[in-house]
Amino acid sequence: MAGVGPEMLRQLLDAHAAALVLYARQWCQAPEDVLQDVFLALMRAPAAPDNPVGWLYRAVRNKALNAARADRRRARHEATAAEHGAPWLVASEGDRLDAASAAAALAELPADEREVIVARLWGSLAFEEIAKLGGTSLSTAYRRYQQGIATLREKLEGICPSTNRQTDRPS
Amino acid sequence: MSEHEPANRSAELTAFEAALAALAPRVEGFDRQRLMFLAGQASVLRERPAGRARGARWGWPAAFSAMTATAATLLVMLSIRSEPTVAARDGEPNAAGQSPAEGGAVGPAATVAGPAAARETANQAPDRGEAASADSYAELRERILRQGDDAFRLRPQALAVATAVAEGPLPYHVLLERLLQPRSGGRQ
Repeated sequence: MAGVGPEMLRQLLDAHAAALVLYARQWCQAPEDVLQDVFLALMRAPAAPDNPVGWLYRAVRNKALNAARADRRRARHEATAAEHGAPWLVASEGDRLDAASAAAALAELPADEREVIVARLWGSLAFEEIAKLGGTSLSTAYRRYQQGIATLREKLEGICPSTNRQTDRPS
Repeated sequence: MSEHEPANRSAELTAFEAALAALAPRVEGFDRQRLMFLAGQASVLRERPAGRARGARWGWPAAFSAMTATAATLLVMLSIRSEPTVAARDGEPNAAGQSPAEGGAVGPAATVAGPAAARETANQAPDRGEAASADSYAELRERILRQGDDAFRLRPQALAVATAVAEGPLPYHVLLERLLQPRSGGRQ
Protein backbone atom coordinates (compact mmCIF):
# COMPACT_ATOMS: atom_id res chain seq x y z
CA MET A 1 0.00 0.00 0.00
CA ALA A 2 1.32 3.46 -0.91
CA GLY A 3 1.90 6.23 1.57
CA VAL A 4 -0.17 9.34 2.01
CA GLY A 5 0.04 11.62 -1.00
CA PRO A 6 -0.17 15.42 -1.10
CA GLU A 7 -3.79 15.42 -2.22
CA MET A 8 -4.87 13.22 0.65
CA LEU A 9 -2.86 15.34 3.04
CA ARG A 10 -4.61 18.46 1.78
CA GLN A 11 -8.00 16.88 2.27
CA LEU A 12 -7.16 15.73 5.78
CA LEU A 13 -5.89 19.17 6.68
CA ASP A 14 -8.96 20.91 5.34
CA ALA A 15 -11.38 18.57 7.04
CA HIS A 16 -9.72 17.85 10.37
CA ALA A 17 -6.92 20.27 11.20
CA ALA A 18 -9.04 22.66 13.25
CA ALA A 19 -10.79 19.89 15.17
CA LEU A 20 -7.48 18.17 15.83
CA VAL A 21 -6.01 21.37 17.19
CA LEU A 22 -8.96 21.70 19.56
CA TYR A 23 -8.65 18.05 20.47
CA ALA A 24 -4.95 18.43 21.32
CA ARG A 25 -5.51 21.71 23.12
CA GLN A 26 -7.28 19.85 25.90
CA TRP A 27 -3.98 18.47 27.10
CA CYS A 28 -1.13 20.62 25.90
CA GLN A 29 -0.30 24.23 25.35
CA ALA A 30 1.19 23.91 21.90
CA PRO A 31 -1.38 21.88 19.95
CA GLU A 32 -0.18 23.25 16.63
CA ASP A 33 3.24 21.71 17.16
CA VAL A 34 1.64 18.42 18.06
CA LEU A 35 -0.46 18.51 14.94
CA GLN A 36 2.50 19.30 12.73
CA ASP A 37 4.51 16.41 14.16
CA VAL A 38 1.63 14.03 13.68
CA PHE A 39 1.04 15.02 10.08
CA LEU A 40 4.74 14.67 9.34
CA ALA A 41 4.72 11.23 10.91
CA LEU A 42 1.79 10.37 8.69
CA MET A 43 3.73 11.49 5.63
CA ARG A 44 6.77 9.46 6.64
CA ALA A 45 4.74 6.32 7.11
CA PRO A 46 5.51 3.84 4.34
CA ALA A 47 1.85 2.92 4.00
CA ALA A 48 -1.29 4.93 4.60
CA PRO A 49 -3.34 3.69 7.58
CA ASP A 50 -6.64 2.01 6.92
CA ASN A 51 -8.49 4.72 8.81
CA PRO A 52 -6.44 7.89 8.49
CA VAL A 53 -8.83 10.01 10.57
CA GLY A 54 -8.85 7.57 13.45
CA TRP A 55 -5.10 7.24 13.18
CA LEU A 56 -4.72 11.03 13.33
CA TYR A 57 -6.86 11.36 16.44
CA ARG A 58 -5.06 8.53 18.19
CA ALA A 59 -1.65 9.95 17.30
CA VAL A 60 -2.63 13.45 18.34
CA ARG A 61 -3.98 12.16 21.63
CA ASN A 62 -0.82 10.22 22.42
CA LYS A 63 1.49 13.03 21.44
CA ALA A 64 -0.50 15.67 23.31
CA LEU A 65 -0.55 13.54 26.44
CA ASN A 66 3.20 13.03 26.15
CA ALA A 67 3.70 16.75 25.74
CA ALA A 68 1.54 17.41 28.77
CA ARG A 69 3.50 14.92 30.82
CA ALA A 70 6.73 16.41 29.65
CA ASP A 71 6.13 19.92 30.79
CA ARG A 72 4.01 18.99 33.85
CA ARG A 73 1.78 21.92 33.31
CA ARG A 74 -1.42 20.27 32.34
CA ALA A 75 -3.32 20.97 35.55
CA ARG A 76 -2.13 24.52 35.71
CA HIS A 77 -2.96 25.04 32.07
CA GLU A 78 -6.49 23.72 32.49
CA ALA A 79 -7.07 25.84 35.58
CA THR A 80 -5.81 28.90 33.79
CA ALA A 81 -7.97 28.17 30.79
CA ALA A 82 -11.02 27.71 32.96
CA GLU A 83 -10.35 30.86 34.92
CA HIS A 84 -9.70 33.18 32.05
CA GLY A 85 -11.94 31.57 29.44
CA ALA A 86 -9.10 30.92 27.04
CA PRO A 87 -10.43 31.19 23.53
CA TRP A 88 -10.44 27.59 22.46
CA LEU A 89 -13.27 28.56 20.16
CA VAL A 90 -13.65 31.64 18.03
CA ALA A 91 -16.84 33.41 17.15
CA SER A 92 -18.03 33.60 13.62
CA GLU A 93 -21.02 35.14 11.95
CA GLY A 94 -24.29 33.41 12.64
CA ASP A 95 -23.21 31.71 15.84
CA ARG A 96 -26.06 31.06 18.20
CA LEU A 97 -23.75 30.49 21.15
CA ASP A 98 -21.26 32.85 22.70
CA ALA A 99 -17.87 31.45 21.78
CA ALA A 100 -16.04 32.63 24.89
CA SER A 101 -18.69 31.27 27.23
CA ALA A 102 -18.84 27.99 25.35
CA ALA A 103 -15.07 27.68 25.45
CA ALA A 104 -14.98 28.40 29.16
CA ALA A 105 -17.72 25.88 29.83
CA LEU A 106 -15.96 23.32 27.69
CA ALA A 107 -12.68 23.87 29.51
CA GLU A 108 -14.38 23.37 32.85
CA LEU A 109 -15.78 19.98 31.93
CA PRO A 110 -14.14 16.84 33.30
CA ALA A 111 -11.38 15.72 30.95
CA ASP A 112 -13.00 12.44 29.91
CA GLU A 113 -16.33 14.11 29.09
CA ARG A 114 -14.65 16.93 27.26
CA GLU A 115 -12.60 14.56 25.15
CA VAL A 116 -15.69 12.68 24.03
CA ILE A 117 -17.56 15.87 23.20
CA VAL A 118 -14.71 17.36 21.19
CA ALA A 119 -14.16 14.15 19.27
CA ARG A 120 -17.86 13.80 18.59
CA LEU A 121 -18.91 17.36 17.81
CA TRP A 122 -15.85 18.78 16.07
CA GLY A 123 -14.14 15.58 14.95
CA SER A 124 -17.35 13.88 13.80
CA LEU A 125 -16.07 10.56 15.05
CA ALA A 126 -18.43 7.68 15.69
CA PHE A 127 -18.90 6.57 19.26
CA GLU A 128 -17.12 3.32 18.47
CA GLU A 129 -14.03 5.22 17.42
CA ILE A 130 -14.26 7.50 20.43
CA ALA A 131 -14.51 4.50 22.74
CA LYS A 132 -11.49 2.94 21.06
CA LEU A 133 -9.51 6.16 21.41
CA GLY A 134 -10.22 6.49 25.09
CA GLY A 135 -9.90 2.78 25.78
CA THR A 136 -13.40 2.54 27.14
CA SER A 137 -16.60 0.77 26.26
CA LEU A 138 -19.11 2.16 23.85
CA SER A 139 -21.68 2.70 26.57
CA THR A 140 -19.19 4.58 28.73
CA ALA A 141 -18.29 6.87 25.88
CA TYR A 142 -21.94 7.55 25.14
CA ARG A 143 -22.74 8.18 28.79
CA ARG A 144 -19.86 10.64 29.10
CA TYR A 145 -21.07 12.44 26.05
CA GLN A 146 -24.59 12.75 27.38
CA GLN A 147 -23.35 14.01 30.72
CA GLY A 148 -21.05 16.54 29.13
CA ILE A 149 -23.71 17.86 26.81
CA ALA A 150 -26.13 18.18 29.68
CA THR A 151 -23.61 20.14 31.69
CA LEU A 152 -22.89 22.44 28.80
CA ARG A 153 -26.55 23.03 28.15
CA GLU A 154 -27.07 23.85 31.78
CA LYS A 155 -24.25 26.37 31.80
CA LEU A 156 -25.08 27.95 28.48
CA GLU A 157 -28.81 27.88 28.86
CA GLY A 158 -29.24 31.50 29.75
CA ILE A 159 -26.75 32.64 27.18
CA CYS A 160 -28.32 30.97 24.20
CA PRO A 161 -32.01 31.83 23.89
CA SER A 162 -32.55 29.52 20.96
CA THR A 163 -31.75 26.50 23.06
CA ASN A 164 -33.45 27.77 26.17
CA ARG A 165 -36.04 25.21 27.13
CA GLN A 166 -39.33 26.44 28.53
CA THR A 167 -41.53 23.40 28.08
CA ASP A 168 -39.43 20.30 28.07
CA ARG A 169 -38.10 20.33 31.58
CA PRO A 170 -38.96 17.06 33.25
CA SER A 171 -41.61 17.60 35.82
CA MET B 1 -48.03 17.39 25.78
CA SER B 2 -46.09 14.94 27.81
CA GLU B 3 -45.76 12.41 24.93
CA HIS B 4 -44.06 15.11 22.86
CA GLU B 5 -41.43 15.84 25.45
CA PRO B 6 -38.86 13.24 24.27
CA ALA B 7 -39.20 14.46 20.69
CA ASN B 8 -38.82 18.06 21.78
CA ARG B 9 -35.84 17.22 23.93
CA SER B 10 -34.20 15.35 21.08
CA ALA B 11 -34.80 18.19 18.67
CA GLU B 12 -33.51 20.81 21.05
CA LEU B 13 -30.53 18.66 21.94
CA THR B 14 -29.69 18.30 18.29
CA ALA B 15 -30.03 22.04 17.83
CA PHE B 16 -27.77 22.68 20.80
CA GLU B 17 -25.20 20.23 19.47
CA ALA B 18 -25.34 21.88 16.07
CA ALA B 19 -24.92 25.33 17.62
CA LEU B 20 -21.99 24.11 19.66
CA ALA B 21 -20.37 22.39 16.70
CA ALA B 22 -20.79 25.52 14.64
CA LEU B 23 -18.28 27.31 16.82
CA ALA B 24 -14.93 27.16 15.08
CA PRO B 25 -11.89 25.93 16.97
CA ARG B 26 -9.18 28.52 17.28
CA VAL B 27 -6.28 27.74 14.98
CA GLU B 28 -3.81 30.55 15.13
CA GLY B 29 -0.34 29.12 15.38
CA PHE B 30 -0.82 26.48 12.76
CA ASP B 31 1.24 27.24 9.66
CA ARG B 32 -0.34 25.25 6.90
CA GLN B 33 2.14 26.26 4.22
CA ARG B 34 5.07 25.25 6.35
CA LEU B 35 3.46 21.93 7.08
CA MET B 36 2.90 21.27 3.39
CA PHE B 37 6.55 22.07 2.71
CA LEU B 38 7.78 19.78 5.47
CA ALA B 39 5.39 17.09 4.34
CA GLY B 40 6.88 17.26 0.86
CA GLN B 41 10.34 16.77 2.33
CA ALA B 42 9.10 13.88 4.42
CA SER B 43 7.56 12.20 1.42
CA VAL B 44 10.85 12.45 -0.49
CA LEU B 45 12.70 10.82 2.38
CA ARG B 46 10.07 8.11 2.51
CA GLU B 47 10.43 7.34 -1.18
CA ARG B 48 14.21 6.99 -1.07
CA PRO B 49 15.16 3.31 -1.44
CA ALA B 50 16.30 1.75 1.80
CA GLY B 51 19.36 0.11 0.24
CA ARG B 52 20.62 3.34 -1.18
CA ALA B 53 20.11 5.14 2.09
CA ARG B 54 22.01 2.43 3.92
CA GLY B 55 24.82 2.61 1.36
CA ALA B 56 25.04 6.36 1.70
CA ARG B 57 25.08 5.98 5.46
CA TRP B 58 28.05 3.59 5.44
CA GLY B 59 29.89 4.79 2.37
CA TRP B 60 31.69 7.73 3.88
CA PRO B 61 32.72 6.01 7.12
CA ALA B 62 34.04 3.05 5.14
CA ALA B 63 36.07 5.28 2.84
CA PHE B 64 37.38 7.26 5.78
CA SER B 65 38.43 4.09 7.61
CA ALA B 66 40.18 2.69 4.56
CA MET B 67 42.13 5.89 3.99
CA THR B 68 43.08 6.12 7.64
CA ALA B 69 44.36 2.54 7.63
CA THR B 70 46.39 3.21 4.49
CA ALA B 71 47.92 6.34 5.96
CA ALA B 72 48.82 4.54 9.18
CA THR B 73 50.45 1.70 7.26
CA LEU B 74 52.53 4.10 5.19
CA LEU B 75 53.56 5.97 8.31
CA VAL B 76 54.75 2.76 9.97
CA MET B 77 56.64 1.74 6.85
CA LEU B 78 58.31 5.14 6.72
CA SER B 79 59.35 5.00 10.35
CA ILE B 80 60.90 1.52 10.20
CA ARG B 81 62.64 1.96 6.86
CA SER B 82 66.47 1.40 6.90
CA GLU B 83 69.04 4.10 6.14
CA PRO B 84 69.59 5.15 2.54
CA THR B 85 71.98 2.87 0.67
CA VAL B 86 74.28 3.30 -2.33
CA ALA B 87 73.83 0.96 -5.20
CA ALA B 88 76.79 -0.13 -7.30
CA ARG B 89 76.38 0.02 -11.04
CA ASP B 90 77.29 -2.73 -13.44
CA GLY B 91 81.04 -3.04 -14.17
CA GLU B 92 82.03 -0.45 -11.62
CA PRO B 93 84.29 -1.50 -8.77
CA ASN B 94 82.79 -1.30 -5.34
CA ALA B 95 84.38 0.22 -2.31
CA ALA B 96 86.59 -2.79 -1.78
CA GLY B 97 88.13 -2.43 -5.21
CA GLN B 98 86.38 -5.47 -6.55
CA SER B 99 84.41 -5.59 -9.70
CA PRO B 100 80.92 -7.02 -9.43
CA ALA B 101 82.13 -10.27 -10.96
CA GLU B 102 84.90 -10.60 -8.39
CA GLY B 103 82.60 -9.83 -5.58
CA GLY B 104 80.75 -13.10 -5.98
CA ALA B 105 77.42 -12.37 -4.40
CA VAL B 106 77.54 -8.75 -5.38
CA GLY B 107 74.97 -8.12 -8.09
CA PRO B 108 73.96 -5.16 -10.14
CA ALA B 109 71.92 -3.69 -7.35
CA ALA B 110 74.23 -4.75 -4.56
CA THR B 111 74.75 -2.16 -1.92
CA VAL B 112 77.69 -1.11 0.18
CA ALA B 113 77.67 0.27 3.63
CA GLY B 114 78.43 3.85 2.70
CA PRO B 115 81.29 6.37 2.50
CA ALA B 116 82.72 5.53 5.91
CA ALA B 117 83.16 1.88 5.02
CA ALA B 118 84.69 2.84 1.71
CA ARG B 119 87.31 5.01 3.42
CA GLU B 120 88.15 2.27 5.84
CA THR B 121 88.54 -0.28 3.09
CA ALA B 122 90.79 2.02 1.14
CA ASN B 123 93.04 2.54 4.14
CA GLN B 124 93.27 -1.17 4.77
CA ALA B 125 94.25 -2.00 1.20
CA PRO B 126 96.59 0.76 0.04
CA ASP B 127 98.50 -1.43 -2.45
CA ARG B 128 95.68 -2.21 -4.74
CA GLY B 129 96.57 0.58 -7.05
CA GLU B 130 93.33 1.91 -8.32
CA ALA B 131 92.09 3.36 -5.10
CA ALA B 132 88.44 3.54 -5.74
CA SER B 133 87.63 5.77 -2.88
CA ALA B 134 90.23 8.47 -3.42
CA ASP B 135 87.68 11.15 -3.90
CA SER B 136 88.60 13.75 -1.45
CA TYR B 137 91.69 15.87 -1.27
CA ALA B 138 92.53 14.68 2.24
CA GLU B 139 92.50 11.05 1.23
CA LEU B 140 94.57 11.72 -1.88
CA ARG B 141 97.11 13.64 0.14
CA GLU B 142 97.34 10.94 2.74
CA ARG B 143 97.80 8.30 0.09
CA ILE B 144 100.55 10.24 -1.66
CA LEU B 145 102.41 10.77 1.57
CA ARG B 146 102.20 7.10 2.31
CA GLN B 147 102.92 5.66 -1.14
CA GLY B 148 104.94 8.30 -2.90
CA ASP B 149 104.93 8.14 -6.68
CA ASP B 150 103.10 4.88 -6.68
CA ALA B 151 100.06 6.75 -5.77
CA PHE B 152 100.02 8.23 -9.27
CA ARG B 153 99.99 4.94 -11.03
CA LEU B 154 97.28 4.96 -13.57
CA ARG B 155 95.14 2.17 -14.68
CA PRO B 156 96.48 0.37 -17.73
CA GLN B 157 93.71 1.56 -19.94
CA ALA B 158 94.09 5.13 -18.88
CA LEU B 159 97.87 4.77 -19.24
CA ALA B 160 97.44 3.63 -22.82
CA VAL B 161 95.37 6.64 -23.63
CA ALA B 162 97.85 8.93 -21.93
CA THR B 163 100.73 7.36 -23.88
CA ALA B 164 98.87 7.73 -27.08
CA VAL B 165 98.36 11.37 -26.35
CA ALA B 166 102.07 11.77 -25.67
CA GLU B 167 102.95 10.19 -29.03
CA GLY B 168 101.23 12.96 -30.81
CA PRO B 169 98.11 13.16 -32.80
CA LEU B 170 96.93 9.83 -34.03
CA PRO B 171 94.22 9.05 -36.50
CA TYR B 172 90.82 8.58 -35.13
CA HIS B 173 90.53 4.92 -36.05
CA VAL B 174 93.76 4.07 -34.23
CA LEU B 175 92.59 5.69 -31.04
CA LEU B 176 89.28 3.94 -31.39
CA GLU B 177 90.92 0.57 -31.80
CA ARG B 178 93.06 1.11 -28.75
CA LEU B 179 90.12 2.09 -26.66
CA LEU B 180 88.14 -0.91 -27.78
CA GLN B 181 90.87 -3.38 -26.92
CA PRO B 182 90.25 -5.49 -23.84
CA ARG B 183 91.54 -4.17 -20.56
CA SER B 184 93.94 -7.05 -20.02
CA GLY B 185 95.56 -6.49 -23.40
CA GLY B 186 97.53 -3.51 -22.25
CA ARG B 187 99.34 -1.20 -24.60
CA GLN B 188 99.90 -2.30 -28.20
